[in-house]
This record gives sequence, C-alpha cells and structure tokens, in this order.
Amino acid sequence: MKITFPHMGNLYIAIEALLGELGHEFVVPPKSSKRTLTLGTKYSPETICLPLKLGVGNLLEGIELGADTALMVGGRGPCRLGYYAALQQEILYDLGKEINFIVLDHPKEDFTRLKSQVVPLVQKGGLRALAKGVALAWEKLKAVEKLERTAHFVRPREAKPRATTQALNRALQELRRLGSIRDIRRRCREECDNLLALASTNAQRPIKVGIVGEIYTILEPFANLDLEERLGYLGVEVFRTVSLARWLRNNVILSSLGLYRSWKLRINARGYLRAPVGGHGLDTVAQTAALACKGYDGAVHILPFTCMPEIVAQCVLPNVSSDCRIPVLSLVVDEHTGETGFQTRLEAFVDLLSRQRKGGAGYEPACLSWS
Amino acid sequence: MKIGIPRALYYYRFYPMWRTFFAELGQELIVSGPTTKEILDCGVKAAPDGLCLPVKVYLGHVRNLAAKGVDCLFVPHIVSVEKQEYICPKFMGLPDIVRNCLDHCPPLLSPTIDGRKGSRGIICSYLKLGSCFAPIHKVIHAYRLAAAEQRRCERSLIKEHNARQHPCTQKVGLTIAVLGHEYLLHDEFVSMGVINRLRQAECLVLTAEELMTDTIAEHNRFLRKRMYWTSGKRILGAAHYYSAKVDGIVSLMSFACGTDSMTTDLVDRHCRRSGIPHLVISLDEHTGQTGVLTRVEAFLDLLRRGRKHEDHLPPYGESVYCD
Repeated sequence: MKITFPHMGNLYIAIEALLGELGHEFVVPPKSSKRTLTLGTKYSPETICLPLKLGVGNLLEGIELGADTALMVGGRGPCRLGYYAALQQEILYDLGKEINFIVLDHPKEDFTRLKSQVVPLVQKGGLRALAKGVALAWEKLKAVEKLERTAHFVRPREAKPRATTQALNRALQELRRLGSIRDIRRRCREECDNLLALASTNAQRPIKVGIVGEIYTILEPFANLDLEERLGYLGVEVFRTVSLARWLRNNVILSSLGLYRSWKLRINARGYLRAPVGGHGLDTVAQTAALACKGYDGAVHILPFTCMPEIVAQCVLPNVSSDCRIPVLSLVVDEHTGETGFQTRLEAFVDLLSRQRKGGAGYEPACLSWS
Repeated sequence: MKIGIPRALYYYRFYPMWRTFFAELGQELIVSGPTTKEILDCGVKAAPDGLCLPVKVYLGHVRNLAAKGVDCLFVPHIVSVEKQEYICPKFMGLPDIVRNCLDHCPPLLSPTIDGRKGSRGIICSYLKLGSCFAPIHKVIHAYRLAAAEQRRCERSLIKEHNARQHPCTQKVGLTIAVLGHEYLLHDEFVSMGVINRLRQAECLVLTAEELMTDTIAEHNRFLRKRMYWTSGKRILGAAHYYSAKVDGIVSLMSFACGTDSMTTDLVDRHCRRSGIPHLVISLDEHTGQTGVLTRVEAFLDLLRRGRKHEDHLPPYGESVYCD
C-alpha cells in the first residue's frame, strides 16, 4: 500500500508525519503547479470548484509516482467537499486508474465502510503508533501555522527583500525531518526567533489586512496565486482568520463530543447571516465583522468560482462592509492563472487602504469586487 | 394580510402545500407572474455575478412582488426537507441573500424549515409559522389539510406516469427523460420551454417527479456514496431508473449551480457506461433560444436515426455521446 493525498498548503507536513509513524509507504505528490491544474481541469466536471480540480491533479501526479491508495476526507454536506472523494473515484475509474480510497468520512455516514478502510491504515502500526502519529502530526501542524503566522508578521517589516519567504521555506523543510515533539517545539521556537530577526527595527506600522473566505483557497498558495506573499511585499501585515488546527479542534474533536457550538460566530454575523450555510460561509461573515471591531484596515475575501457557501457570504459582505466600515476585496479564483490582473487589484486595494489610513478627505469605505 | 410568494425555486415543489396552508389560515396569497425578461434582468442586476441563475430569478420575482404591494414575503429558510439531507447552501441563506441584495424589500416571513432530524422538525416550523396568524388548533388543522393536498398533488403526478406506462398507450415517438431541478424544468422562460418543445416533437417526456420516493431511493444504490442533496438524489435515481426505459436523457443544469456541477457529471458518467445518449443543456442569463432549439433538434434527429438503423447504432463515428 503506497498512499498519496491531495495537497492543501503545508498540510502535507502533518500528514506525512502521521503516515510515517503508522509505518506506511507514501508519496507526497509534487506541489500544485500549472501541470496539476491542467490535468485536474481536463478530467473534472467543467463548473466544479477549484479544490476538486487541483485534488484530481494531485492524485494523478501521485499515481504517476507509483501510489496505489488515496487518502481523502469525506463529509455529509451541504458543501460539495463531502462528495469529492466519491467523484474523484469515479473520475479515476473512468480513466482506468482505479486505486483504493481511504475516505475519512463522518462515522454516521457508513460506519462499516469507514471501519473497513481505516482498520488497514492503523493495523500495521497499532494503536500506540497511531497515538504518537496523531500527536506528532498535530504538533507539526501547529508549528507550521506558527511559522506562517510569524512570516506574515515579518514580511512587511523585512530588512532584506524576499528573505522571509526563503527562511520560512527552509524552516518548513527542517520541520519535515523532525521526529519528536520536543524537537519540533524547540526548533519551531528557534526558527520563529530567526524569522523575527529578519524584521528591521525601525519599520513603520504596516497596514493590517485579514484574509477571510474558503479554507482551501486561503491555505493553498497555488490556488490563491500567493496572495499572502503578494500582500506582504506590498507592505501589508496579513492575518489569516482560518486556522486548520483550530478548525480541526472545533469541528472534528469538539463537535463530535457535542461541545462546539457556533454561537460566537452567529453573534458576530447577526443581522447578516442567521445560520451556518455550510463550508465557511458563516465564518467569513462573522470574521469580517470581527476584523472591523479589532481595528483591521481591510479584509480580503477569497473564494473559488461557484463555491456555494461563499457566494452566500459574498451576497452579504457589501452590507457588512458598509455597516462596519471595513473595505472588503472579493477575489474569485478559478483555472485562470494570469497574475497581473490579480496584482493590480491588490495594489489598488492597498492604495485605497493606505489613503484611508492617512485620513484622506472624502474617503468612503467601499466593497471592491470584480464588478 | 397579503403574503407574496415568488414564483421561483421551491414554489415549483411546495406551492400546493403553501397555498392550502395560508388559505386555511385566512391569508391572501399573491404569487408573482411567470418569469419574464424584465424579472430576470432585475434579478441579475441585484445579485453578485457568481450567483446561480435560479437564485437570480428568485431575486427578480421578489422585486416584482415588492412592486405589487404585498404586506410581507414568504421566503422560507429551508435547511432540509428530507431526513439527513440538504437542499443547497443557497437555500440556507436565501432570506439573508434577499435581505442583503435588495433594498426596500417588504418584511420577510422566513420560518426555518429543518427536516434533517425527520419530519417532526418540519411540522414544528409550520405550526410555529401558523401560530402568528391563528390559534394553534386551527393551525394544526390547516397543516393537516396542506400536507394532504401536497401528498395528493405528488401522487397525481405519479399516477399519470403509471397510466402512461400502460401498454395501451403504445409509444409512437421517442421517449425522453428530462432531468433537472423542478424550478428549472417547469419555468418556461428559464428552461426555454425545452419540455414543450420535446412534446411538440412528439416525444413522451418523463421527469423525476413522476417516480415514487421508494423507486428513487432504490435506484440510488448504484452510487458510491449516498447523495446528500435532495434534488441531486432525485435526479440520479431517476437517471438510473430511466436509463433502461428511454431513448435518451436530457439534463438541464444552470451555470454556476453547485449541486448540478456534480450530479450532471455523475449522470453523464452513468449514461456513458450504460450507452444512453445524453444531452446536457446548461442555462444561464443568455436568452437566445435558437441555440438550445438547434441542439435539441439535432439530438432528436440522432435518436431517430439511431432507431431506424438499430443494427448499426451509432450510424457515424464512434458514439453519440463522446466528447
């Protein structure tokens, strides 16, 4: 059994730690690239959302490297993510590349199938290995997010251009080979200090922008055309409102124990969106309102084309923007990879924000969008 | 009180129920007129461009009703109408979309209809809604009548289908299954009258509404995973059921519809595997009908030709439904 899995930002670091600890062979597919996208677009339905297309591309590239099993997540709606694995199986079947799927689905969905798929995954290493693997993966996930957060803080302040990204990538590669929790924690601290050392001491207070929207497009730099990096180089301190570790804690661990309630989000989104609409729709609206309260200069809303929950959020955001006086830039991403239009919009947005901060006369906060 | 119901989305499924329910409670109902170009334009203008066509049409109808001077609008917040299933995230945000996209819209009557845990949730939400207008015993009575009316209407569709399947009504023309959301199929303007065009061409048109829920559930078993969208489940079940019985399947989907992007693809894969000609018509704000007409005609021509020379189907190239 040689396992592959689709990419989602730097999540692969955690997954490979888990699979390695469980004693399985695995293939990390090459990072998402234009080739991945081309492959995925070619074989996926036309108007499906970008994450599926890239996922199909990742799996195909993984299969090329000799994988015979795919690890995916499931779900039970209403977002399309829950059906991804089933559709990917159909796509691969029609291509004559049928491989085994291990789908980590909701236990209430089809427990016998879940059991039959998960047992071989765990059997080899045993429960002790599973516990260690999960702990290690969790620690790495947290470390990755901490490093990324630090990089977002340092990038607009860096003394030497592009040094942060290089240091971050180096740190992430270092992290991959560490095998104990203590090492990870120590290394993470050191690397964070290294990153912070790159910041120049006499930098001005940069513009602060929160990123809201669909989790995959926020986390996957290829899908969002390196949005965070671009904003960083434009002198913007980026705050990512989505954290995978937090999401897993809330929506997988706590909610399965019945301890997680979305009341906090609902309160923030009150008056705009009354209930969850699947995916991250409610989070987007609630976080945008929260960003305004926290004094952020603006928010960037990123979503894949035809994403159902985020479209609902997009309908609502102009009102949040004008009521809370926070400019929002909605960016829709699809197979289009032209960077210039993207860059221009970001530059215009940052210009707008910096003018707003200077308190330019006659300034009206506005919701920017395609239209 | 004058309650407005937009003639869009779940009007096409639950109107018998809503009509009886509100009439029993002594409320006046006003339904917006059939979709027109103006209504569509109105909706398109109000919505962000990534929104799907049916919701844009819905917004247009809401605008239309607001101009008619209703006291409030019935825009239900529908989470689910069947156990452990969903409709689509846009239905879950519908009242919020309406409120935020349209200015000066009348007050909304938007009960939360959540049947994820069974029909009890749905009943409760109707009773809660009704108790704004009348004492509870009247509401219970109204709900009973409304539910009975809904069942009767649904059953009459099924009866019609069974009568048509009867050997006496020997088919002369082609039999075509038309699959899609009810709010696309039965909206003459949005669907560009595909069903009527097929009927005019002497085809027997079958739709998913004519099948019993049990049949649908049974014919969903070919899927790898349970389909959790109610309409997706119906479409896929119907596709599987009809694939052995019809000459061809026509799928109507709206551009940017999330559920359709998956279900239509699954239907297409199923048709390809079982050798059924499949035509996908994707609808958007475009209102030129000639393109759709041409494609439907070409599809019918191919089916007729295939039937005439049954031995060597398909008469040209490799297959009718290759890409």
